[in-house]
Amino acid sequence: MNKDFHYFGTYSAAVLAGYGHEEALAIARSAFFVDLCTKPILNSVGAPVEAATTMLAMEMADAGSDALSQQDITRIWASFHFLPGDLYSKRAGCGKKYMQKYHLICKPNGDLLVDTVNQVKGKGLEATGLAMHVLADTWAHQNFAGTPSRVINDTNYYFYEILPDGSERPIRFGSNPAAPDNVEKGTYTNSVHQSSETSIMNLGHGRAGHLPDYSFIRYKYLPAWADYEECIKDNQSDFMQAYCQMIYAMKYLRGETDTFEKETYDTEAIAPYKTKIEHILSKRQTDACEDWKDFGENLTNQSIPDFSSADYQEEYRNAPEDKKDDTPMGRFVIAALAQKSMVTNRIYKSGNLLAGISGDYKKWGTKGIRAYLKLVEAAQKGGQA
Amino acid sequence: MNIASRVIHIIIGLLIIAGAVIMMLLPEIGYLVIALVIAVSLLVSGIRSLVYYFSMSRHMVGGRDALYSGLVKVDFAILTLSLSDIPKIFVMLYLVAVFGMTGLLHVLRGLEARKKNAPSWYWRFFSGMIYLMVALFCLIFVKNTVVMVFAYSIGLIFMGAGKVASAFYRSKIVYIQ
Repeated sequence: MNKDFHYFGTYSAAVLAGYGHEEALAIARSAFFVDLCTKPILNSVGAPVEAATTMLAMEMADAGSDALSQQDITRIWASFHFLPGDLYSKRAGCGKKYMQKYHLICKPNGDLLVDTVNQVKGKGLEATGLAMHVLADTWAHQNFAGTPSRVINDTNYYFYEILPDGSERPIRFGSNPAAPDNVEKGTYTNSVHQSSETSIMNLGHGRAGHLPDYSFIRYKYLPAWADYEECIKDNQSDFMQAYCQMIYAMKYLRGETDTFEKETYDTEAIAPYKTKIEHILSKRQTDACEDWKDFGENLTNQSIPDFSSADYQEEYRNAPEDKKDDTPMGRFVIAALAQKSMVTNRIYKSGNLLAGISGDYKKWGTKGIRAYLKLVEAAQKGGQA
Repeated sequence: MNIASRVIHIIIGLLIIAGAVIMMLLPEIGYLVIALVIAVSLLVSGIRSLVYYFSMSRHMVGGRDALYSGLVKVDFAILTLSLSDIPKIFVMLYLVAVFGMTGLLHVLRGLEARKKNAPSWYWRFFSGMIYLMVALFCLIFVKNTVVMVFAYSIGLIFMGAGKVASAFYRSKIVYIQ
């Protein structure tokens, strides 16, 4: 998913969940900022770099294949873009090393999604936006893992688009990052094949290019981990599910329902707009920003300004030291630290060290990463340490 | 590239240069040291591929290439280890062939990088051409093994120096607001 769904789409979902224009904007900004918040940005404003929710291409190219670098990558991508679906899934005949990777495969409706949504309840609009990004990505990025792994994330030549009339055509991939995806010709860019298990080229859905991020496309392929079982990915349907689940989750976060249940979707809220939303999702385009923007503006009769990351950062940078945590970016940073901390902890507790070691603050005190002291301070303010 | 990777690059580069110097000082037996290093490298790499296959890639679509790659590498390692009993000329020809293949791969990767407008293409292409020229030079002087050993050693020094230099490649990110 790209800016179209994470920013403009999330805005309209928030409105349908009952939020006002300004609140929906705050949620949408935070949801989209997950795709922008890199260590260099955090470093430039003096925020803890451990709150990074994504990486620059240059950062990834620079990352090593040593365990610590791999854990750093995994913490970011598994926490925010490829939330593991089942950390305790079973598969016969596979060793521990393989299963550690297998357990990080992203799926919708996992226990970690419930934890993610529950964790942000009462934590503000930025935390809500961050959680909505994570939720939406569990649909788009399913079947890939947020850790560099060839045995999980690799793909091969078997890739076919299923066109609206039911016919099929092969999808051709090139590895020139400068070449734009061509929807009409069916040519897309993916990451270069690398036989190394831990190559950054084998992170997430890199080997499938941006196909998982386009709402219109239906395709079939062979996931590396699926034992030659063909996977048919219907993005239009998945994005609709994601949208309805976001509305349901945000209604829960607003206090309309008492619990957040898995596999529950608010189809009633979208009923009056279903045709319009289906039209946006099915339109053959790589950028649906304009359509989602129109839809959102028609819902509220308000203009949706484009998101300015610079303004977001500037407000944080200019705030006095004791007020930084009260800025939108300050609240985002705390929400990001909380999400990363929670997901790393769950992965670690499942006996999996791919995201690193998670220490319980009550037991170990501040022997962990110092940047997480900010999270401790925030929790202490809220009486949760 | 992180610090550990840089250190590893420097160590490998210095080992290659040291091997070249040994060959130049002891042209009669130095080639055997190189053959031994190549054999051990192939053996370790082959075993790693086989372990990777049995522990991980046998569960993946198309994962058998790790098995084939491991078997081929181990096979070549054994072949290289067995070369000590045959005439020096054949050992050197084998080493030159390995060198030439490395050069060819560099040239092809450089051309591929050029197609993608990658800025590093010329270094790959240039180094590959040097390796190919050294391999060609060795073949021309195939009857004079001392000259051949010296040419091969110079090529190795170039390769080692390139490895060391790559460790100092600047890869820090500069963020400009």
